[in-house]
Parts: sequence; structure tokens; C-alpha cells
Amino acid sequence: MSLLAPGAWPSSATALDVPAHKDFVATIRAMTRSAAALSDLAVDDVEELQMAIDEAATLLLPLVDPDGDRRLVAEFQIEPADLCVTLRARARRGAEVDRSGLAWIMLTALDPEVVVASEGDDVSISIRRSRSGEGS
Amino acid sequence: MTDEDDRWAGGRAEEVGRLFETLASHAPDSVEHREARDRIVEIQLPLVRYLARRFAGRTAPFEDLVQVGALGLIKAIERFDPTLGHEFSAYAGPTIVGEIKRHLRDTGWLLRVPRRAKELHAAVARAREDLTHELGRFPSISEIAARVDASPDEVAETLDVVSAREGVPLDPLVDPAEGGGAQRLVAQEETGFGDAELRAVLQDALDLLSEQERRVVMLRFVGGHTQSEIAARIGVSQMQVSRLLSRSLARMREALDD
Repeated sequence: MSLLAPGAWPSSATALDVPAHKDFVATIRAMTRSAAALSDLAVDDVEELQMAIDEAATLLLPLVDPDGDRRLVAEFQIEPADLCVTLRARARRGAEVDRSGLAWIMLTALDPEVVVASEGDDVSISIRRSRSGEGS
Repeated sequence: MTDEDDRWAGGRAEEVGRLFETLASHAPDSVEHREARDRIVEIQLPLVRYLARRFAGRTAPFEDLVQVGALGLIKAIERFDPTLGHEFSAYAGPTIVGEIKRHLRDTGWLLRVPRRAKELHAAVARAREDLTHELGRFPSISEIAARVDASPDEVAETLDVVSAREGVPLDPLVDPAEGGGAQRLVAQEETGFGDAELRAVLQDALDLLSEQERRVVMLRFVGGHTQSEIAARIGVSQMQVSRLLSRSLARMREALDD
């Protein structure tokens, strides 16, 4: 039984737009905690999702185009028992997510189905978590 | 870029690949086999340390998690099939993380998180008061964080604990014309006396349970809470509460049948 009323929400898409700097990753972590509460995830899901966000930010921040807007955008798709977080940044032309480093291994260990996408100059990483014991 | 990254150097895929060939071509009890395995462990240890560091701190000491993670690494070496063409470190990562997570779960991680938050909350409250006096102004989050030896993020988290503690008085819900105040809303008839004897018998069976199992059983059957309420209260999923309950009841039933 959840105390929340997802059916009454006009929509569930939520976004946070912060400076592309490691100091601001904590604000995305905090928002993730609130979003996870709305999705009613398990406590360990929240912690792991926050770790995954740290790694995704670690992978994205070095790619940020110094001549671009230098913003890091976090989009939250908040569904009952399911939360998807997408981190997006304007990257230097041709810059790619480093898939040989430790951060990538950690990220894929936390979410084997992590999605990396490029759209124009934007690079994004999407992490999804369903409540433990439901779905995957 | 961390120290681990420097020493890890991309997992040295080629060298590791050759070492797995050595493993495959020598008997498990041979010197060559053991040396090759030790060398793979050595190369991959920065990976273990990196992953362990991410999970360490709040609930389990870093060095413990390195030990557990190293066990996961050895399991991964035993199970890895190089003929499938995957890189070893990509295979080892989830195995190591899985081992660390299992350890954290088995040692009651989920229950210690709220306690840590609660402890920190008390420390933050104290530091807030002390620093206000010392500085002659309200301390910043980072000043409090430095005092209680936690990150600013963790200090900010304790603010959630505060808001969760503050209740709303029931009185405004009561129509003043009806009188009696909130007392009338929360009062209920005591039916527990008749159950006292039964509880005495049950006590022996309850003693067989772990602290957590006992707590869940008490909350469910004595406190009358639903599984979801218990899950929220002790900070685990409803599924886990359900599993804990059925396991506890099975053990108690077994004890009472004896």
C-alpha cells in the first residue's frame, strides 16, 4: 500500500538543470532520493541509484564542451515502482563515454542495461531501477 | 582520476588474456596455474578497491569490502570463460559488486542505514547548537559537516530525518462541537488481556528468532501493522518483510510442535 497517488499526477516527467561541475552532482543525488520516494523504491535501490548517478556524472563531466552551455541536465521519469534517470550534457565534438575505465564497470555492474546515447552534440546516459523483487 | 585508475591502466586486457591462456593450459594445482591466478588478482585489485570504495563508509569499513570483493574476484576468475571473447574486467565487475552487495545485505546493511542517519541527526543537532554559540551566528552545512566528520550531503540528508519526525496534531481534525478532543480518535478498547497466557507460551518460540525476525513478528502480530507499514518502518521492501515473516512463522511453528 502506497501513500502516494500517482494516478492523480498530471504527469511524471521531472527535470533538474545544474552547472556541469562535480559539486552539483550532489543536488542530482538529492533529487534522486525524492524521486525514488515518489516511485516508492526500496531503500537499497535508492542508494544504488545514487551510486550509479555518481558514476554516470564521472563519465559525462570530462566530455563537456568548454565552449558550450556547460550544463548538466537530469531528467527523471517517475513511475510507480520504477524510476529512470537520464543525465545529459553538451559534449565536445567527437567526445565519447570512456567504456574502458573503472567508472564504466561500476555503472554497468549497477545497471547492466544502462543506455548511452548521442543526439547532435548531446551525450546522455540513462539508468533505470525497478523496485527490488519486481521485474528485473 | 583516482589512484586506482592510475594503477589499473584499463585492466591490461592483453596481459590478462595471456594469463587466462596459462590458466587453461596448466593443471589447477600446478605452480604455473597458481602464479597466473595470483597475477590476475594483482592486476585486477584496483578494480576491487574502486568498487569497494563506492559502497564503503556509511555502513561497512572499506577494508572489509575489499576482502569480500577480492573473494568475488577469485570466483570470477574461476568462472570466466575466455573463449567467449569477452573482456575479463567487464565480466568481473558485476560478480564483485554482487559479492559486496550480498555481504552488506547479510550483515544487516538495510537496517543500519536509518540508525546511522539517526545517530548523525543527533550529532548534527548538537553541532548546530554548539557552533551557533561558538561562532555567534548560524553555522553553515559545511561547518557542521566538518564538526561531525560527515559529508555536506549526509548532513543535508539528516534534515529529511527531522521533517519525518515532526507530526501533525490530531486536534484540528476533531469537530469542537463534538468535544472530547483527539483522545477520542486514538482511544481503543483493550482486548489484549485474554491473550496474555498465549503470549507467555509464544515467548519461548520467539526467543529462537533473530532480533530482526522478532521485531518483524512483533510489529505484525502484536503491533497489528501491515507488511507495508513494517517495511517502511524498518527500511526494507515489503517482499523482504513477507519473506522474514514466513521464515519466522515456520520456525516458531516447528518449535511449538515439539
